[in-house]
Parts: sequence; structure tokens; C-alpha cells
Amino acid sequence: MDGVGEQKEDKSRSTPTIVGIGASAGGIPALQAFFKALPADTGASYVVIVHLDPNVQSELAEVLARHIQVPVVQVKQSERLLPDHIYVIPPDRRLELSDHTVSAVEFAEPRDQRAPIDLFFRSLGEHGDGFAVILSGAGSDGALGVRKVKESGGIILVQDPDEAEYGSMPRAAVATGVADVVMPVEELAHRLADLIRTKKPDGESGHVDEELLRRVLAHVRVRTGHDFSKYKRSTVLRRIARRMQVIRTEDIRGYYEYLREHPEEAQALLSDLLISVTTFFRDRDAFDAIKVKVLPQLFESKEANETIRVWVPGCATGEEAYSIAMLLAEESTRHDEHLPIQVFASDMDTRALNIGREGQYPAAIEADVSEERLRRYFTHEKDGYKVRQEIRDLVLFASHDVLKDPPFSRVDLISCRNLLIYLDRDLQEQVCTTFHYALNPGGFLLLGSSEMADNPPGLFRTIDRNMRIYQSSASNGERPRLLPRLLGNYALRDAGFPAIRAPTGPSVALSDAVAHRRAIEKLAPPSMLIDEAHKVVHLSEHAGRFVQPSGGPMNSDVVDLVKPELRFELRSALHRAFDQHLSTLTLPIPVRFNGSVHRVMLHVHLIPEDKAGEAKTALVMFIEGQSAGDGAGASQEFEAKDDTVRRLADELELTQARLRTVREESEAANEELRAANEELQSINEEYRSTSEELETSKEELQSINEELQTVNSELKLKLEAISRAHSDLQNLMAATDFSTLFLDSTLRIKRFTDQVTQLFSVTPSDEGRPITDFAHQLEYDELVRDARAVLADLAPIRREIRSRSGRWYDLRLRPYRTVDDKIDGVVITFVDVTERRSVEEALRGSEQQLRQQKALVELSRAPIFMWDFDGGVLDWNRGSEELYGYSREEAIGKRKEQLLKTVVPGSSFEALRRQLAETGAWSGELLHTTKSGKEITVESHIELESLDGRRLVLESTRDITERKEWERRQQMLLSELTHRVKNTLAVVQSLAQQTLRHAPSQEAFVERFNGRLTALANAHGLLVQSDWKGADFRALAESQLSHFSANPDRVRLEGPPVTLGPDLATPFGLVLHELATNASKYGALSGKRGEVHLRWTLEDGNNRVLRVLWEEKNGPHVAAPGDAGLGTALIERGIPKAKVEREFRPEGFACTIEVPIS
Amino acid sequence: MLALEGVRVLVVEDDTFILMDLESLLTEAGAEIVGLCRSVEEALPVVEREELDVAILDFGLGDGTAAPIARSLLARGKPFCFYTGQVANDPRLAAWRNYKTIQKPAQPKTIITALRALLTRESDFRMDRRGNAGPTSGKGQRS
Repeated sequence: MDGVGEQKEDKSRSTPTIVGIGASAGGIPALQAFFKALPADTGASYVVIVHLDPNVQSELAEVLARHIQVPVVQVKQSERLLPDHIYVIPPDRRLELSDHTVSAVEFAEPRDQRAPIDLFFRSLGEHGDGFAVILSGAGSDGALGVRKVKESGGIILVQDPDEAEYGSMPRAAVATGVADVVMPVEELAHRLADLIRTKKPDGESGHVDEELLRRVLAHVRVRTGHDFSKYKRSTVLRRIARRMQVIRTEDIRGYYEYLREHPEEAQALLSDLLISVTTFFRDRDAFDAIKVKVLPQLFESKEANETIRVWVPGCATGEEAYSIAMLLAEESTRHDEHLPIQVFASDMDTRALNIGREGQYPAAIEADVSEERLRRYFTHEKDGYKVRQEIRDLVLFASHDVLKDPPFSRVDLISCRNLLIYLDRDLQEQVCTTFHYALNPGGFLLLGSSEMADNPPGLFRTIDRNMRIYQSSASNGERPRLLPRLLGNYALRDAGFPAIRAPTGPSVALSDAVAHRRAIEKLAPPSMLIDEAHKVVHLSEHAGRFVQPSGGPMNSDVVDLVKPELRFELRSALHRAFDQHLSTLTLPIPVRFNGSVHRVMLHVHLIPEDKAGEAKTALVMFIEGQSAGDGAGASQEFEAKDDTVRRLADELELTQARLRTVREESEAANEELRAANEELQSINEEYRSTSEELETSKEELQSINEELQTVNSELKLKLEAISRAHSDLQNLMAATDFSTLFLDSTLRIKRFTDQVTQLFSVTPSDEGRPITDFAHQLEYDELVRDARAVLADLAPIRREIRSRSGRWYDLRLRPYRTVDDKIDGVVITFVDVTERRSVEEALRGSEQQLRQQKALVELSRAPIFMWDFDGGVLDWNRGSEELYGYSREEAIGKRKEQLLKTVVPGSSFEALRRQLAETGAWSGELLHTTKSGKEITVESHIELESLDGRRLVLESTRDITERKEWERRQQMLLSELTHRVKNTLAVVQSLAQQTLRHAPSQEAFVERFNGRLTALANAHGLLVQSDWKGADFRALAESQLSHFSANPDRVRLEGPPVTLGPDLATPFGLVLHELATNASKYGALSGKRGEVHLRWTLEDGNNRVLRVLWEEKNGPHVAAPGDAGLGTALIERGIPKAKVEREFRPEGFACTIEVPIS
Repeated sequence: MLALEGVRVLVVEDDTFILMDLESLLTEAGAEIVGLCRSVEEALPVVEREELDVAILDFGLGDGTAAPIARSLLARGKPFCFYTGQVANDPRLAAWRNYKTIQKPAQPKTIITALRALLTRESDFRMDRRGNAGPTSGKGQRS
């Protein structure tokens, strides 16, 4: 609230009234309807603010002009406002008003933060009073501006949100509580026209009926409990004038009537009286000064954990309180010590307080709050910004009247800006005293730019005169302080009847009045107030002395009431007074009082009338003289009678004198009692009203008490839950083996588990100290940096670090989130992973080894494979692939015994499995079949390994098929050799025996046997050469015949190559030997010229037949021998299946042998 | 009297010289040779045809063995012995190891004694040819 409006009063008189109209989405039809319904001759200037696309030419002026008679102007640079003109905002500009000129100004804000309606309304509010109209629109633009307009005495008209195409902007304006008129757009236009017509320039209501004004304020006081009688008159008048305008009342009397008939109007007037506009960081310079000059001192003066208490009286909707809370929060981060902060924000206006508590402000506050603060202290919500929980927690809103209620105490800083200006000097002093009382010694007081804390003097000293920063001059120990007198309800009520009581302190005034009255009573003569009908209106204290009613029915006529001696004189005097308006002073009249006669004069005055028509009254005063002389004469008269009478008379006189004294004393006492009674009555009155108040308070207290009990039981439940959670937490902390460290946002230790003491040299008493103060056992210097990083980024950090003792820890830093998602520090956990690491390393080592071994196995040519005892093949190395022909892919998963068709010689595979299961190993020979179907013999080593309940079988085999084959061959060859040797020996034996049988002499036997043995040996020799497969016939013949003739011409061989099998080669050899022996003994070779012709042919066909022809020529004549010798037998029968023909021809012996050969 | 006077003997031997020698030997011992055979094909008809008393068989005959002949003899209850150069553990001989086997080379008297012993133990073989009994027919004739 500032007083700018008042300074502009005179200007608005000669210039048109300004109507600001804000509209947005759906605003064009609303504007058209509005202007259509508006008369053309209102005499006001209209400024239309809409949200326009900054990049597009606006057609708004043309669109509006089509329907309206009055000129429509789009503001180019600046326009002097003329009556009955409409001014339209240009695109990408905002409008500012100054000195009845509207100017287009560039926006300072980025496009998405612009609020042109608010901005214009603010400048309209600063310019003076005016009208603000909000029509259809989305968002909340204008909501802040209307408050400003209203504060300056303007009137707010809002389109009915239900009628508006977009109701959000009207709704936001209505929600501020300042809207005076909410109705459909056409009625709105009519109402506006009415309002403009009846609008009186400010200050014209200068001649106000004070009595009516007093009554209006009294009514407000009675209705709302708030007294504005001591607020600045001009402000109060301005607000009332505004209300009168709204309800269309011409004079204050009419308004008073309206106020009495409409109970809700009192509340409306109260709201108007309380209306105030504040913004965030209003008067930036002042806040900068506070930041530099006040806050650091405030923080430095505090001990750890001492709360900084701030009071913001008259906080309205809380902007100032939040601003100060933000400054404090910022300052707090600059200090190591974390001090609790408490801001009390108080106001009388509970509706404003609710807005403050909510902390929800329109987007237009972007103009007042820096971007950084917006980001840090606000969350973007709905159409506006909401103050973050952490700042809202600092501020406590309370309904409180600084004039009436006891102040908050022990406060370090009071910020009360622009409140004092509304109060008169007395109240200003009272408030200053209150502030002085509330502040701690050296506490600070911030006031608005046109306020001062110089009265009463001596309470505050000035810190910064320009910025109105004051400091309490009280020093420490200057207590006790006295609570300043506050305007209680009692005081206010009395203040309402100044005619009855002087404006001095009530109790003092009371006693003075009594004293004065008592003095007057004492000194002034007794008197009576008589009205025209001669009735006694009032008697003075001692007037009773002169009253002596006559007998008969009680008559109120004063003449019948006074002592009989006075009646005649009184009647004539009263006549003179009432009829002729003359005062009368009678001659002294002797009157008997209890036997003694006193002279009494009557003084009758007509009381001058205050006002015409008032009842006439007259005052009758009784002026009493000394007792008359006849009294003395009488005593003398009796003196002579006798002593008894004299003595009695003396006693009587004495008694009378004593009586007089007693009476006087009694009267004095009586007087005092009356005064006391008077006082008691007024006190009683006070008590009664206090009692009533107390009754009300009691009821309130009871309901509060009930609420509190509910809250209390809820709290109790919560407390129990928290206790449980706490004990859980304690147990968790005690039970956990991890070192866990909780740091707050300034990296002070909040809590830690016992294990932390092994790493940090901390003790439980160190909680609250910065972690940087402690040495630790870790090779980790980035702890603080990491913790800050976690606080800044909210991203957890994880590291493995080593302690100086060689142990390894898995360190995790996570942000500490409170239940309501505030970040309040860092949680660090250290998990000892030394064992895990060593196990890991060992594991890595064995893994490496295993990999090498596996590679070796894989590289090995030896077949090694693994199979599941109860299943198929699991592994299959290259050696296995090579030996068995199955690739790894083919082998894996198949049952080994099926894949390789395992045969266990002399046993079965099942028996092998059993033995394996029992002894865990098996080795021996197996028959396996390869992929190509070849059966091979292998030497197999099998071992059974159990692993995780699985039985794995490792088998390595060696192919011994060839070795076996070779052994068999070897065996066979040996048998063959033995067999052959035996056979040969048997043949030799037979030859020897047969030769012996036919030998004529021993010499002959030796010769023949040698020859045959040689022949046999030659044949064998050839067979051996051919590996016993066979012998070439020619070679056989040559071997048998060569040693019978040195001349090769004598033995001719002729025939094709023929191979004889072993079964024929030996007999043929012997036969040829016998033939040759015979020839050399008896035939062609016995002489010198004989020849032998050996020819042979091979008949092919189905049966191959070898035909051998032995022909001798040119030998001696031969004849068939007489007996058949062994030679002949051999020749004829020696060759199996042979057909032998012998001829003893004249030219020589011939022999034909035909034998089938295969 | 000669050791094998009148005994009808079948000789099966694939080696000419040994065959001739056995012929001489047995003939000298008084035996009557009912067959001098070099192979199974030659010997089997002789077994079927001739009334023989005893047979001497070379075990290995060419690529085969004398087992078919032995089985045929067994079927007829004719005693026989093997005269063979096969080593004793020759698997082909395993089935016949209960029958008399003379290892080559052998003394003539060993062969003669063996054949005589077979004749005295003729009943052993006869027990084996159950169901094929019948009195031995009279002396067969020389082929």
C-alpha cells in the first residue's frame, strides 16, 4: 500500500476516467459485445490489452471499429488519452500509462513470461484510480494487476467466468477477492457506464458528516471487530467513497443505511480497507540493503541452534514474508552454522493469509523474482508458481492485529512496510512501542519508504535512513520491558464517545471526575434541577436537607416537597423563571432545622437551552446562612430555669456538636462510597463486557481446544509411529554391519553407525560437526567433493576405495531425501568388500588357469570328452572330433553310448556304469564306432565327478585299433611261421624217409637227399622272395636247372610268364629237379651234346591250364626204367591234379605235364 | 603181424611229399589206404563211400580246414586224428581240442601208435554217432 494515489488526486479531475480492459482467448467476441452494449458518451478512455502474436500485424483495431461508433486507435508510440476513445495494444509491445498518456514499450521479459495485462494494470494503479475490466481469457494474467488497481481505489469488473468462452482469466481475477462486480458482459458494460457516470473525483467528499462517518466505522467495528477510527482519515474516506460508488449510493447517509441493511457490506468494506498490494522483493534497493546491512549481522549475533525469528506484520498475501524467507535461506547457505529460521507473517485479513499459506502465485511474479530464485524456490504448477515446501516451512502465517493483539516476542527482525502510513500519529507511536517491545535488544526494524520510527523518540536508532532500516536501541539486560498499552475492545468503545470522557487514561479520568464532583458538591450550595412542570429532575447531594414533603398522597411537585417555610418563595421564583425567564434570589428565610433556625436564600435560574425545542429546566440552589440569633436567645431563656435544664441543654449542645461531626464524617464517607460505587459500576461495566468477550473467547478456545485435542491425538499416533520407526531405525543401525554416515546438506554429521568409527575418528558427541574436520582411514580424498556432487546432481555415486589398513570398501553416496522429497544431505555407506575382492581375485586366477587348461584340452589331439552320467555329452574336444568324426555340435547332447555304440568286451556298458558309480573310475578297452561306421578299439580312462548334484563323467580315449591289429597280425604271422616251419620240416622228413627207402647206399642217399633238399630250398627261396605269394615259372625252372649245365644253350627255356602258387611251386620245383637229375644221369645232359628244351604254354579259357613240355634231344638212347623209383613217383604224382605223360622217344626223353592253375 | 594189418585208413594231406610219405609209412605198417586226399572236396565223397576204420587229417587244407571232414567222420562214428603243423593255440583248432592231434613233424611210430590207439577206442567215436548205427560192412575195396 502506498500513497501514490493521493498525490494524483487533482489530475484526474480534469482528465477522462481510464478503463483498462484485459482479454485473451475468446476475448474478441467478448470485447465486441462489451463495446456494443456500452453507451458512446461515457466520457472515459478505454485501453484494451490482449495477448497478441508478436510477429503478426494486429487487426484488432479494425475488428472493433466495425461495430462501434467511438474511434478505435492502435497505440503507435504514445497517445494522449481522449474521452470516448478506445486504445488498442500493438503486437509485441506492452502499454504503460503515465500522465494520461499511454505509451507502447518493449517487453523486458522473454515471450513466454509476458503478462501485458498485469503490467498495464499496475501502471494504471500507480497512475490513480480507474476501472479494470477482465474478460474471457486463458491463464491468470491480470490477477496481480487488479489488486493494484483496487488498492489505488479503482473498481474491478470481471466477466462472469461461466459466460466467458475461456473462464480461467476471469476466475483468477475473482479468486483474488478484489472483484467488485462479476456479471455477464452486457450487464457489465451497463454497470460500467453507471459507475463512470456516478464516479466522483477524489477529495470531493471533503465535507463529510463526521457523525455519520463515526457511525459507519462503529458499525464496521461491531460487525468485524476491527477499528479504523484511528486510521488515516483520507485513506478511510477514499475506501468508503469507492464502496459507495460500487453500490451506487450518492451520499454517506445512504451508504450508512445500506451498511445497516446489508450485513455483508461491512465485510466488503473491511476488505477494501485492508486491501494492500505487495509484490515479491518490492523495492529491490531496500532488499539489497537488508541483505548487506542486516542479515549478516543477524546471523553473526546468533549462537548455534538459536532460532532467527522474523516478524512480518501486515503481510497480506505473504509475498514480503516469502521474500525475506528466501533472503534468509540464501544468507544461511553462506554461513557454516545452520540456524533454524522462523518467519511469522501476520495480518488481519484471513483471506489474504490463506493465499499466503497456499504459496501459489500467478505466473506474473516472473517480473519480480529473478530466474534463479524462481528455479530454486518455486515449482511450476498449474498456471503459476508455488513456493517450495522448504521455504513455506520457514513461514508461519497467523491472523493477528498489530494494534490489538499482543505482539510476537523476542523477534530479531520486523519488516513492516507501508502499514504505519495508514495510521494516525498516536497509533503510529503505539505500534512503534509495540515493535520495540517485540524486538530483542539490537533487533532490526524495516519500514516503508515514507515511514519513520522516530516517535516516541529514543526507541530506535537509524541504520539506513533512506532504506528505513532501524535498530532497537535497547541494550541487553535492559529488561523488564513493559507491554505497551494496546487498543483493547474496551478502550475502543470508550474512544467512541469522546464527549463523555476526556481522552486521558480511563482510571485517572475516573478518579479526577469523582474528586471534582466531590469538591463541587462540597463547596457549591445544594441544588435541584426542576423541569417546566415543577418536577424534580435531579437532586444534588445535600439538597435533601431542604426537603420535607407534606402529608397526604406523594406529590412530585417540588413546591410540595420542600420545607413549608420555603414553599411560597419557591413557587413565585419558579414562575418568574419559567414564565419570564428571570433569575430570582430571595431574601433570607428563617427555616427550622431540628429546632435551630437557619436563614436560607433561594436562588432560581432558568438553564439556557442548548437547542431549540428542548425541555426547559431550572436550577434551584439553597444558600444556607448561619443559625439565626433567636437560637441564642432561647438558650438564655432556658438558662434561668434551673441547673438541670442547663445541664441538659449543655449536653444537648455537646451531643449536637458531636452529631454534627459524626454526620459530616458520615457524609464524607458516604461521598467516598459513592465515588467508589461510581468507579465500581464503570469497572463492573468493563468486567461485563470483558466477561462477554471472555465467554466468546472461551467458546473459541473450547473449539480450538477440541481441534487441538484431535490434532494432539493424531500427533500422538504419529509420534508412536515415529517412535516405532525410530526404534526400528536404531536397531537397524545397530544391527547393520555396514558403516553408514548421514550428512546434512552442509556436510555436517547427522548420524552414523558404530562401524563408521573404524573409518573416521568420530564419537557420538561429534554429531553436528562438519565431516571435513575428521581424519579418516581411507585413501580417498574426494569424499567431500563427491558428497557435494551428489547434493548438486542428486545422482548417486559409487566407488571402490581402499583403507590405509588395506581393506577395500564399496562406497556409495546417495542423496538424503526427506519424506516430502526434499534433499537434506547425503547418505554414505561403506560396505567391506575385502573378502569379496580377494575371492574375486582368486576366482579370476583359477578362471585363468581353467581357461588355459581348457584351451590345452581343446588343443589336445587326444580325444577327451565329458558326459553327464545321467544324460548326454557335455563337452567334446578337437581330439574327439578327429577320432570319431562327429563335430562338437553333433556330439553335444547325445548319449555317449548311443553315439559311439560303446561295446565293453567281456562285459556291458551297464556294468561299466555301475562300477563307475561305485568306485568313481574305470579304465580299460572299449569298442567304439566312428561316424563313418568303422569300429575302433580304444583304451579309455573314465572318471566320475560330482558337481552340484550332477554327476559328470570325464573320459579320455586312445585309439589302439592299429596296435591291436598289428598284434593280431604278429600273432598270425608267428603261427603261420611255426606252421610253415613244421610243415616244411614234415616235408623234409618225408623226403628223407622216402629217399632213404629207395636209396641203394648211404652215399646215394646223401647225394639224392641233398639234391632234393636244395631243390626244395630253391623253390622256397623264390616263394620267400614273393612273400609266399607265388613264383615265376621261368625263375623256378632256372633255379632248378642252372647247376646241371654250365652252358645255357644246352638248356633252353621258352614260354610266357606264368606265376605258380605256393601249392604248385614247391612240387614243380621238385619235379623239375627230378627231371633234370634224370637227364643228367641218364638222359640228354649225361653226354656232352645233349640238349633239354623246356617249353610251356598257358591255355586261357574258363580253366587256365599250364602245359609244360620237357624234351630231351641228342642224348643217349633211353628206355623206360624197369622199376619205378622215387624220382618217377615224384614226377608222376608229385604235382597235385596234374596229368603227366612220359615218353621215351628215340631222340630223347619227353615229359608233358598239364596242370590247371587258378 | 604188422601194426595196422588190414586197417582201412583215409589220409587227407595237402602236401604231396607228406602225403606220399604217409602212404608209404601206412602201407608198410600193413594198412589199407582207402583214400589219399588233398582237399575237403576230394575227401568227403571218400568218407561217404568207403568203409574206413580210421582217418588221419591234416587240419589246414589250402585256405580251409579239415573240420567238415572231421564232422562227417564223427557223424559216422569213425575215429580220426589230426596231423597238423598248426600251433596248439590256433583258434580254429580250439573247437577240436578234445580230439587227438599229432604235431608235425612226428616220428612214424608216433603216428602208427596214435592210429592204433584210436582203433582201440573206437567206441568213443561210436557213442557220438547215435542214431546212425549199423554194423560195419565188410572190407571195402580199393579205389
